[in-house]
Amino acid sequence: MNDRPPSAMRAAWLIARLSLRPWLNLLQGAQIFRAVRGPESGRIGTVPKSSSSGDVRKILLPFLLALIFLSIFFTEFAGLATLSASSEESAGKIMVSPSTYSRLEAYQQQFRMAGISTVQAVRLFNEEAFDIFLDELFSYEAVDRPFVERDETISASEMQRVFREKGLYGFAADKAGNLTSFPSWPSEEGAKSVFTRALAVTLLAWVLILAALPLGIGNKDLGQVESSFEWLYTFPAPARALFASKLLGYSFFNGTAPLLLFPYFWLVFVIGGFGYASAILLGLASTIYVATLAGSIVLVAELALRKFLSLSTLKNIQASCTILGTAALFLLLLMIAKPVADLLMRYAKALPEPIVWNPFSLPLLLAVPGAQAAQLRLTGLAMIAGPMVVALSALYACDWLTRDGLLTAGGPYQGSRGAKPSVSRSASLGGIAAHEMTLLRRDRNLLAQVFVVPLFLPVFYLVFNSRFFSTVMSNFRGAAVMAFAVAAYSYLGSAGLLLSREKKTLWYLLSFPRSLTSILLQKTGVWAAVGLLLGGGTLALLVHLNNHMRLSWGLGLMALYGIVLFAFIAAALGIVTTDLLKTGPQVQMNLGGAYSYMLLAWIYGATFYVASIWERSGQLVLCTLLTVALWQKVDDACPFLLDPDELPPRRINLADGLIAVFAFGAVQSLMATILEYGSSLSQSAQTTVAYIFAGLIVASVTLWVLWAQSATDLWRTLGLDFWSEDHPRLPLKRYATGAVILGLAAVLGVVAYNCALTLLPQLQWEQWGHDEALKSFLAGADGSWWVWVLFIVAAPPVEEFIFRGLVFQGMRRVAGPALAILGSAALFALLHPPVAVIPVFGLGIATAISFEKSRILWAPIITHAVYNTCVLILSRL
Amino acid sequence: MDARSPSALAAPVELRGLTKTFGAFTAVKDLDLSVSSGQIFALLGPNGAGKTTTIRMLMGILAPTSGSARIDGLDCFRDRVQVMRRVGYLPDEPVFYDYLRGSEIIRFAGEMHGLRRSEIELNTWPVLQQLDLTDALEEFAVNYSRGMKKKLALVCAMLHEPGLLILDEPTNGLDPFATRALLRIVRAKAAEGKTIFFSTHLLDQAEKLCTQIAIVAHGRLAAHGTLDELRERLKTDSSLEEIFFSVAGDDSMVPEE
Repeated sequence: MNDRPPSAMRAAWLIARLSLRPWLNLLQGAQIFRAVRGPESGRIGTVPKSSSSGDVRKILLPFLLALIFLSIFFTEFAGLATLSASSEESAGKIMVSPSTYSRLEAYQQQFRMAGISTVQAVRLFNEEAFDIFLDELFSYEAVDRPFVERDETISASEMQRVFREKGLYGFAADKAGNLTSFPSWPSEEGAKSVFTRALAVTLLAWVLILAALPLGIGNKDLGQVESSFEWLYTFPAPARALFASKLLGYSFFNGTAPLLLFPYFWLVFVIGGFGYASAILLGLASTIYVATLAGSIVLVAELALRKFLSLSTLKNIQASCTILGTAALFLLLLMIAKPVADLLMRYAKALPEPIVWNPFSLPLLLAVPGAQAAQLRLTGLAMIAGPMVVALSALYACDWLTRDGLLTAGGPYQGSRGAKPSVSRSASLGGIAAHEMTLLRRDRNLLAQVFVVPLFLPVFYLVFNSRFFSTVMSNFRGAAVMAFAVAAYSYLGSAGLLLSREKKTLWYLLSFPRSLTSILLQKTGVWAAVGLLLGGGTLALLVHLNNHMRLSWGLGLMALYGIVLFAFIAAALGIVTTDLLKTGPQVQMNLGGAYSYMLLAWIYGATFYVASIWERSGQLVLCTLLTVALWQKVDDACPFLLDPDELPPRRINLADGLIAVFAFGAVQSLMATILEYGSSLSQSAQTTVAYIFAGLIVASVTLWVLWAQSATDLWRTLGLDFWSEDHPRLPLKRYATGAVILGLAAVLGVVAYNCALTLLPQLQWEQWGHDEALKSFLAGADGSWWVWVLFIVAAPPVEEFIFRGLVFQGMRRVAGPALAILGSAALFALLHPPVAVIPVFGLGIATAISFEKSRILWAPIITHAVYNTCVLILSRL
Repeated sequence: MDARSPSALAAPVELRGLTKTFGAFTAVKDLDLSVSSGQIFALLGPNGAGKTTTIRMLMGILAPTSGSARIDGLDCFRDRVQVMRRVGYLPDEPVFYDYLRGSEIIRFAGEMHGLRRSEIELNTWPVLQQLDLTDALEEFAVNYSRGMKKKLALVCAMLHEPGLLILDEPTNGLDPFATRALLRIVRAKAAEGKTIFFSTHLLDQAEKLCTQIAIVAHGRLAAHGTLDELRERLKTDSSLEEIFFSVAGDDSMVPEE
């Protein structure tokens, strides 16, 4: 028996090492050359499906994030420095742009010279010229420089009067727009004090972040002690050691302190004039100082809140901490915007000087240039002694708080024992929807994340910059984009985490006689409704606040459609990127999935600003098809979610079709560019060659990839199995005839359409009009031979392979023939120039029908070729 | 026989050549079992023998590498949704949603199985009383003890009156009262003609309760049949414990008391 349990110090060290272990394991697992595990290693058990993907990324990502934050802080400091410098100098002065200021400066000299000239005529002449010059300069400044911050009532004549009275001293240059110079601590007393005060305020925001976020979202449940901590409590180590290790964890072993706080402090000291190396040391010291203070606060607060507050208040406190912490984080990162920096400056000027002496901002005193030696020594002493004193007192406080035991009465979610269940507690809807809403209602943290945090975006913009409001929000387009952005942002925390929240309880959902995909779809529907509420509410609010907004139904519908669609996109991306077998402490969305989602949302938001309806509807169709493709992947993956080893069998997906479409477009434009600069072929020849080449590449690469991944029924699905005997194939003549008939039908459709257009010219939209360039191209203005080759030989096989073989068959797996035909035809049509959209839509339908009936790729190729031939002939007439 | 139409003559549980490998490791190898209706079937085996993997394949959570698992003639993996209508599942370590009350969890499960509220109450009330869970129904699931969670899961498994109950270590964590109640329930269901399939390593319980036994070790089937058949095959009159040790492992590993 070991009679000597470890001392407090050793115990603290052991536990701290234990909490470092997961990070070390992560780093070790990310070795670039991993030893291959042999079969002798015994039970491998849960072999992760994704082998070594993302391991290198896991190491690089923190550095990348730190760099990004460093650049954000750099810009913010530059802005703050110039603002504080200029704000002091410009008290009581009129702000003008720097160029005006320098011209005034140059001319001031001349004016003075002219004024003391002895010759009367010269003086008068110079004064007149100068009057005209001033008049022009100030009118230009007053009217054409609205971005300089000054009172808008100051007119050109007012500026002239000030200049004659005070000269150059009545004006100050607005240097805030000039960020090219490296920021430096303002040296002049007033500006220095303002800058220091501003930094002190930001530091207080930092402490809020460091203290509130761990209490809020960092804690799964504020009312309960973590089971891992409870387990540690059972070891023969003094409780103080446990709390010391917890303090270390809260202070340093989290993401915020090393990634965000350290770059911040490093920059502060570099700006203060210290060298890069000494800035690292000082930055490290300051980080340790502030982090220790914040960590102690969290540690004591956690225990104290649990002990003294009622259990239901804890729920709300946790949610408020989440909101406060996120708001402070937003504020800090948004300081890059001028209005927020201005607001900060105003507060900084209003605060008294001693605010810099608050214990959290002590490191700033070290950085202020020109500080006295005595003050520096005092500060240094306080920075060394402070953390130790605070940490020790925190430990003693924890000891005192837990003198009655570690746990209080239990968790905050207390039902009532022994109560009779009320028969109809909620007579409302049952099933998945109610289930999900109940979970949302009860989890205050989730409520805060879903409802409150996304609203920070518009609220910040509205509160801090009224000009933004008036210039961007004055039109409905901006309001629609904002509504979409708010809803899309909320999905990151709600729909995107759909499957991650169900990690442990998936067995429960799988025991019901419902397909998992339908359950997940229903859950997503609930979140889409929440998003509609958020987005619709935002839109209504913005419209209400601005009475002169012109509503646009198209944009409004597009926003609402996007809100609903992106709920499904977020959920599907979250599901596809979640590894259920990976045990992680927190529920969060895979970073790759989150970035893809944000990229897609950005693309959709940008579509609001596209003028042509065709591009917009093309984008809409693409997004919808992308959602279908993603959910197809989900459906394929669902039976294998909990299986560590098996992957779903590879089948042709709609996703393959979409990728092929994009790849084809990219390769074709690349080839066309190469040919244009590298060859001397005619225009139509170039297009043809590029087309054929791109088609061959895309087709062969796709076929090879699908074959290498052992796609099931590859040839039969693509309609390329000419040799198998058991394939129910129509005899050659029949399908060829049918294909030709369908092609002619499509041609008839085009003729009818053209007749309709010419007979009823009011049906013609501008964009549908006759595209002269296309017409001349069709007529084969140069090298007519190539046009025939393109349209009859090259285009049909390629397009049919991609659109019918991949896209149509992919859609066919989830939808009936009608929907699949319409969907593939829509995609096909929208990728053509506007003049050809409707006819090509008809062609798409015809070819899809022929493929559906015959199941051989030749049929739609023949249809397409027939159609193209007839169109070519007709266009020459 | 068309795989989609259940035949009345199909055995409730049928495993044919069931194999599951995880990478280079074989968890279950060539398992051949058949359980007739009305049986209480016990799957015995040491830790790591592949019992939970087999049950997960029966539930359609895992796809077999080769071979098939069929319930009532339906393939467990391909026709999972149909199979779930006929099966009630009790996992080894049930985890529920933290923020839901016990009664809400039961109600949700019933609704997902297509039962009306009144039916749910009718079906679950007797079982709840037998298992003595009525007091804690309004308690949030996060505050349940382990045994209470298992009881709740058992209620959820039985409320749609399935023909087959699949229980993974059912009495693991239950107090003696609950164990007795559970065994009574199991015997009553078997008398009604329902099939019970459970995995355990409590040999005395298996000996008392079950009608058919299968012993698996290292993923392979080591012995199969009723207790008497096993005794006859191994030419021994010993208890199940002795049979287990001789079949499933090295006899020299039995500690000398």
